[in-house]
Amino acid sequence: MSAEAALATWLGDYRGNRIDLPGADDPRLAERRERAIALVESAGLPHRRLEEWKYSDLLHRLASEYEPATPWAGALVREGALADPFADIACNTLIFANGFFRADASSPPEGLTVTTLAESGVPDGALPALDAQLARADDAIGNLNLALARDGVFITVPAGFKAERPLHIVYLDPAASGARRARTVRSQIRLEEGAELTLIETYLGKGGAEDVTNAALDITLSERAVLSHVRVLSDGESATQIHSLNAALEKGARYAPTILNLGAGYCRTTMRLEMQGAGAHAEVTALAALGGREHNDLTTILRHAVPGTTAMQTVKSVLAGKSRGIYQGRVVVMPGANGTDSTQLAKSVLLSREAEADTKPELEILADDVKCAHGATIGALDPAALFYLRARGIPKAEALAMLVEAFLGDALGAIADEPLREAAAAALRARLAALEVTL
Amino acid sequence: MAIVDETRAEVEARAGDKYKYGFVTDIEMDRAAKGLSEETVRFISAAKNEPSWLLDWRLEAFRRWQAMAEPKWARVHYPPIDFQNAYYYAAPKKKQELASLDEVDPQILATYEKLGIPLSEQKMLAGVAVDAVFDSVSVATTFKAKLAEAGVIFCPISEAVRDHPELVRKYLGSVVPVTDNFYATLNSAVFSDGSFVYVPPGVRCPMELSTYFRINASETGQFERTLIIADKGSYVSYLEGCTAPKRDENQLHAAVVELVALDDAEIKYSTVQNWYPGDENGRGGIYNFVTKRGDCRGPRAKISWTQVETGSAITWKYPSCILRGDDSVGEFYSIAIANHFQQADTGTKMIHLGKNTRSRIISKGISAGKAQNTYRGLVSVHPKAEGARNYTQCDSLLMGPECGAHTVPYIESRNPTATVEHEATTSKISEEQLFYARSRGIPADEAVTLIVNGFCREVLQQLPMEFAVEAQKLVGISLEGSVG
Repeated sequence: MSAEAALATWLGDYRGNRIDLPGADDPRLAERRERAIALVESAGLPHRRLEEWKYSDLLHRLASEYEPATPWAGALVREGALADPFADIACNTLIFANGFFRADASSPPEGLTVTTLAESGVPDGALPALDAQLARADDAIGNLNLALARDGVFITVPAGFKAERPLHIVYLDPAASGARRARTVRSQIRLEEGAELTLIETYLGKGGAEDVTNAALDITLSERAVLSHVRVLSDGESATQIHSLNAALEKGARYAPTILNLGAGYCRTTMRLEMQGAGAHAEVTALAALGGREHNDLTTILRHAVPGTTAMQTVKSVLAGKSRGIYQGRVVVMPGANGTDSTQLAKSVLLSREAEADTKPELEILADDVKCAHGATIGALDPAALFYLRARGIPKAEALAMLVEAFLGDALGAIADEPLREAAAAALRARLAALEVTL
Repeated sequence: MAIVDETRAEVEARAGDKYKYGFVTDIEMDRAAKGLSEETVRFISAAKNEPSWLLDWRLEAFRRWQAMAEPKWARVHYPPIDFQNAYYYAAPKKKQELASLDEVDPQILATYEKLGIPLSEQKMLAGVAVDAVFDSVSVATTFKAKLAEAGVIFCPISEAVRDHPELVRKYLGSVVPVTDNFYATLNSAVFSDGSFVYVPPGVRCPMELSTYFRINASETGQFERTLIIADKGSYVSYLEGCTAPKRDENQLHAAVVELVALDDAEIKYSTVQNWYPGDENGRGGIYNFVTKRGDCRGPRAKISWTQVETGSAITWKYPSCILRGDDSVGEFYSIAIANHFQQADTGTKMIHLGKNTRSRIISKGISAGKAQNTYRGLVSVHPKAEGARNYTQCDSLLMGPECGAHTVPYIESRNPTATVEHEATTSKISEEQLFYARSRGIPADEAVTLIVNGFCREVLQQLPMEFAVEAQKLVGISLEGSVG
């Protein structure tokens, strides 16, 4: 399918179904969807000739016929290629099945405002983030998501509220039908002044279907709000996962996302962090353990807009089989944003002759009183360490597994909550055990 | 400390931003008509009595160029260039065959004197042979005899086309193909002259080879073409230094440099680029779009690039190494200084193809005033590059709130036995270091020069002696007045 035909397919979905999309009769939303689709039409779908998509051929993944996903009312199993690692953790749970919210299976927490797009449309407070999306005219994926979003959840944590239990959002893919489906979900989380929340997201899928998930999450953190965010992805080899994660941090806010890609045919996460208030701090951790022909692309754009904001990014990948791990991280320090301290660390280990790692840690600095640094390495596991272990009678496979686990595992320290960290570590171990080391 | 004092003296002597080399020499020029067409290409080729294969090569390049678009990905901004509003060929008017230096136009000689290039026998003591390029045509070459004795060919490329066509034909365009990029293709079509070096097998070139480029006539684009071939087991060190007179119009420069290192050969290529950067308001200055690439074609070959970039309004330059031979080595040492309204987008590419290939990148970027300085580099390890090794360090120093420093490294590895390491830092001059120096009675300006020279030291050390001294002075002069 040509690029034009692929674009026509997605535009056709919108044009054919717009009267059935949630909020079709709400001019606030309908008008924004119209603007979004117009932007997609003029920008076209992402292709490799665009710098931001240089390493990840998305067009190829979007260029075939699909059916929009439909609500699923059947039984739910919290399992993907791996079982839900957080099933045993006491959480308030929101369940999405096939891209639609399942109220009957969910237990929204008390004290938080939770509404869904399909049920109650867009609350007024969610409009600014949609307008911010429309302002990114060349972000075709984000705008396509806005135009086609069929469900999503809007969560507000009121000022000063400190949630006791984590909020766990589980995205399940229960219908393993043969047809290729597209799911489009757009959610928002807003933490008002001084609010605190731990958010867990798990994307679980295993189907052989070549489903495409386009998910966007807009996060707004008001003054001194604190959001810990753990996202685990475990999907099938032919799945396509496209994620937009947009966060704006006000004065003194802290955001700590930890993203674990434990398998997905193709995953692209575009993370945009806007550091808008002095003292805001972001701590990004992203780990990927891939095999087969899996492809993971983490692209971050971290903008320090005001003086005195800090950020740290740690990205680690272990690549087996014919997998490919990509990190494109751009740090922008705007004029006058003095006192910025921003670091990027990207490390990849290749476990096979056919794996590939591509890293582009980019600095764009327009102020002078800043501290910015990045480090990147790509290589094999340390042969000296391997020798050390083997000399002590540990078999090669086991020794390799230990080293890989140690390499990735120390980054999990970013998850402050211990049971949560342990659960994430267990999931990571399970994934690593399934990877084939061919060195 | 002596060097700092010297720098101070130099700065004072030059009283602010007056560009030392801002003078124009009046000599008769042989010019092609303004604009670029097939006719221009034919004119240049005819003026140089070129064989038909070279004319065909140029015409092919010109045809390809017409279908190409200017690259837009670099972080540099400038008004559109009207390629039809420039002269593509200017040669000092030819009188007759020159028998000795005495016959060289005295005005040209005087110009060199102002530039500090003594084209005289004393130069012999310094061990430097100078192939002086004056507006596109080499007018004099010294020390030919000594080089000839060693079997080294060092001559203008136009002469090489005549005397050594087999070498030129074999290697020209073999590292930078005709269609490589917009500016390289333009250069292939209209290149006027440049240097040609061939070092025969096993020969260590007896002296440092040096060429001074100089842009003289207003509105004349300069399209140098340099080709250096180091045959098996040979060694050559080549120095390139640049100055240009002060002009208000922007001038275009699109050079191509090709290096070929065969088995066990080593080429060291050093550049000090000090072209007119424009005035403090961003008026004028050279547009420098250069394609430089070296090919380590045989095992254990080594190519080392060292550059000190202080000039030009716009720099677009990525000296690269193709590490084809097993165990070959590529190095890139760079200092890029951008002050006032200068824009520099420079870096390197290290393409690891052979086994156990090694590369090292040390880049120091300094931004001051309203300048934008970008490091853009690629390290690519191909599947067969068993045991390849790269180390990259790029540091940026910011001076002043209105400048920018950017780092865009691409790191790609497709071999698990390869090790690629990249480090980068960006910071301003440390208050602590400044305080330390100042509390010992060193004035602010001097302290800055001292710290900056320390920041650049790793790269300055790589330069041959003659250049290191000049480069160190340049660092101080380029940053003059940038500390508030």
